[in-house]
Amino acid sequence: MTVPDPEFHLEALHEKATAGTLAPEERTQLEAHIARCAACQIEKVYRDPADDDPEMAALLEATDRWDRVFEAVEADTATGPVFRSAAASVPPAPVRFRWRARTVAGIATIGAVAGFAAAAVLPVLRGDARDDVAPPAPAAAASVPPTSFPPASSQPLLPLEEPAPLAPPAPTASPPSLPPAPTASAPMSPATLFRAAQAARSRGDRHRAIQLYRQLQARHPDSREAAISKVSLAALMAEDEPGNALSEYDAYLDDDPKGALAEEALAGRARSLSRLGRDREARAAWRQLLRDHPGSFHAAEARRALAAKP
Amino acid sequence: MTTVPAPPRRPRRDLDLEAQVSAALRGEPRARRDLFDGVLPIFVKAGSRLLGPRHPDLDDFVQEAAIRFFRGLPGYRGDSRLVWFAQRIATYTATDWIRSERSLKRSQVRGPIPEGARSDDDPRRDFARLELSRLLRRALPEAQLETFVMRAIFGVSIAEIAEQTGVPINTVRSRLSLAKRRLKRHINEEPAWRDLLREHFR
Repeated sequence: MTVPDPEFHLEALHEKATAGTLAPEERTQLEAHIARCAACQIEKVYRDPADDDPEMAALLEATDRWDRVFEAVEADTATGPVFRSAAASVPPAPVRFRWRARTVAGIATIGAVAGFAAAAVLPVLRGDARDDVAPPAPAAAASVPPTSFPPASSQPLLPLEEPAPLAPPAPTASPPSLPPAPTASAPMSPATLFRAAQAARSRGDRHRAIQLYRQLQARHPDSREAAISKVSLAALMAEDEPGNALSEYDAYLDDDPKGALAEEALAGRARSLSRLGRDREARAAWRQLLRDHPGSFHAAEARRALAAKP
Repeated sequence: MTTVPAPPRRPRRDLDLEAQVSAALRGEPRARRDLFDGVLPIFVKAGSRLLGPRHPDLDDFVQEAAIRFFRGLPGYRGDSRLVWFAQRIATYTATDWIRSERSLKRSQVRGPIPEGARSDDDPRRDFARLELSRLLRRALPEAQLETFVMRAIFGVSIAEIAEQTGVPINTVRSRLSLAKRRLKRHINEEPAWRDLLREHFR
């Protein structure tokens, strides 16, 4: 016989709510429970947006967006004889920081470099199932308030001239095994430099990240990675060096005003101008963002900035 | 050079996805595209609910889940529904994002929420969601996190979770119950979490 669990949070009613079969009195009971149960409130936060939410439907209708994702996925996963040529024909995904897609697409075209690129990328994918899983935090960690963040991870940075020796793949708990990654050595390609810079940035080594982005721009000025790095570099300098950040944003927008990161660059430009006290130009930049990207993620910030008194 | 046929512009909802698996494994572009379109709503739903539907990393989440799906496809043995397989992939991806804090980085980049933003403004709503991810990471061990994510994000029934994860129903009940107790305890210990939820539900 099952003993009723007082902590069981009306799971049956939750299930009925999900299925849309709640009776009115059950709905009242469930809502009253959620109003006083923090754990159920969290569950409710994650149920938003609902399946029938128009925003969800609109998301799925954005076929160009998912076409790009599909191309990137194909460039990354298609390895059979048919797909080797298909992957080579996939254009670089015009999406932020899709270094994996670009790197693996390069496999089909640049021979020896590809060996290292794949070796560098596949362990990440292979390890992403579980190798970054932390054990449950000790009780003391729970007292950290929700506005502070733990320190960035301390993964090793790739050396500048020679690729790092490749570690054997980490075991995974989820999706099954991948073929072994090829090993080779090659000079630092734009993708590898970019990835090294991103890694430095992720672990909070701002100085190193800036150095690597600068090297990327100097060594491979015409690469896509160098173009993207202008925005990455600007974001790193935005707080302390708004003038330099502004130069990087301007350089990106001058080169590719309709580029994949134009929206980010316009927003960053507006913030940099504001930090420099050039409020009129900042407002003009926000207006341009709203004009060129009315559905931008930064639109709310732009409207607030424009609504504020000059 | 082999030409990839133009992909269909809309998911073929009546498609028998299971039948596409072997063709996709042979590398047939149309089958791969059909599979992608078939499981895309699962990945978009997971990403939207974990990160927020307008989060700038949503595409990355979907891409990562889809890559895992195709890489894992050779191991799909057909002993469960393909949508469950995709749902499990999405759950692994979501728990990894929670564990690795990737979902939190953007909230750092964006900085504090401006004063005066309403609780139903996207930035504030997304902020609450991201902060709660951090709470999940701190509070829940692996099995409870996985169960809670399947339940909260996908609304999967307890019986289905049991079937998908291959554990008894009472184990699922127990995991869910323990997860909620742990969450409540953490929230009670830290007033900031309480305030966050109170604001979200006011």
